[in-house]
Parts: sequence; structure tokens; C-alpha cells
Amino acid sequence: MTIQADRGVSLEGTKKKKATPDDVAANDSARRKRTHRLLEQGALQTGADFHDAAFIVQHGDQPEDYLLAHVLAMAAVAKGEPRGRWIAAATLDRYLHSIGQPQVFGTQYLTRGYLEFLQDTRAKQAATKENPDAQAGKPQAVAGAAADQDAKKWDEYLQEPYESSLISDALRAQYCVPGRSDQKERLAELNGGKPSPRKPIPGCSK
Amino acid sequence: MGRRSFAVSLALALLLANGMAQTAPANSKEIHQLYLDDSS
Repeated sequence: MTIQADRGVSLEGTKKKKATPDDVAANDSARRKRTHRLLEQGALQTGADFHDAAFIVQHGDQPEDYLLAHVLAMAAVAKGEPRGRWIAAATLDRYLHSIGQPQVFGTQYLTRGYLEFLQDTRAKQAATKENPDAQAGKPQAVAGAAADQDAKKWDEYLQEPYESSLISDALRAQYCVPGRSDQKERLAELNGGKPSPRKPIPGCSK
Repeated sequence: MGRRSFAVSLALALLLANGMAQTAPANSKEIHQLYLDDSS
């Protein structure tokens, strides 16, 4: 599962069209730049503002984007925005993965290929230039027939690296993150297992 | 009495909701629109 997958709309938001990966990347980048500008101006004030900004910034492709998104999510939480809880956990996990460290909440379900891609920003930048598909999470190196063996790494979803014992399920729930057993069910489902109903987390309807 | 206080409460709630809608800062509207576009 990639954050970038299945996204794309014109920045103006006036007419939905089938966006190319280049369009998606350009629009994401323009939104991030505008968000940075609003932040520099001190224009964002409410918990909802910071929540929205966190979602926009986390669609970046650099560790710094995920770290900033995490800080924004924490600002949303500090201002009492309940929707900030999950994105605060998810952006921390993504930041940790992007710098080669284990996630701690278990919000990230990634293929090994995407994880490698996430961690190699230089390769990612080169791949984006050479192949627009890279924005959807597949560098050109695995698109060729010669990469059949490598292609397997795009099939199976994993949570590793994952330091699952650092945070208790009770603490995960404070961030609206499902517990370990629910995560295992979700992982099995992503890998073709039987779908199981999501268990509600108390206080996390928003 | 109960009906009157309900009417007053309703009027206050409508007034508050209307006031909030009218005074939502322009920057909040812009970042929210960026968010909606980003999520699409």
C-alpha cells in the first residue's frame, strides 16, 4: 500500500480528470509549496488547519516531508483536533521507515520493493526523472523482464522493519491505531487472506 | 417555559453556526481546499 497510489486531481480542483503520475507529482509539489508558504506566513492557526497541512505535506517523498508532517499533526493534536491522532502516528512510522529505522505503531504496510524505494531518495529522484511510474512506487529497474525475480518483492506486503514491543496496544489506541492482532489480520487481508471486519477503537470515530 | 428555552437555545445555536461559517479565516478555507484536492 502506498500513500501515492490512486491519487490525482487538478490543483485547481475544478474538473476531475485522469491524471498522469507526472501530473500527480506536480500537483502534490505545488500544494506542498503553497502549504510551506502559509506556514512561513503563520497563516495556519487551528487544529483543523494543521491536520490538513499534515496530510498535504506527508505526500512528499523525502524524510523531511514525513518529519514535518508529523510535527504538523502533533500541532493539530495539541490544539485538540482528534483527527490529528492517527496521522501523527502514521507520519512518525513513515519517517522512521524512510530513514531505515523500524516503525513503532504499525501503521505502514509496504512491499519490500516500496520500502527500498522509500529509503533510497537518490534512486527515487533519478527514477522519477526517467520513469513517471516511479511516483506510483515502482522504479524503472523492476519494470523490465530481467527483473522478474525482483518483481516478487512488489507482491507481498510487510510491516517490517517493525519494533512492535515499544508501544502497547493501549497506547496505540490513544492514537487510533489498531492493536497488533488487528494489524496481523489486516496484513493477511492485504496479502490475499480472508477480509475481516475492522474493530472500532473507542473514541476514534473521527 | 421549556419550549421557550428550547427556542432560545436553537436561536443561539443557529446564530453561532452562522457566525462561525461567516468568520472562517480565508487561510483555513485555502488549506482545507488544498487538503480536499490532495485527498481526491
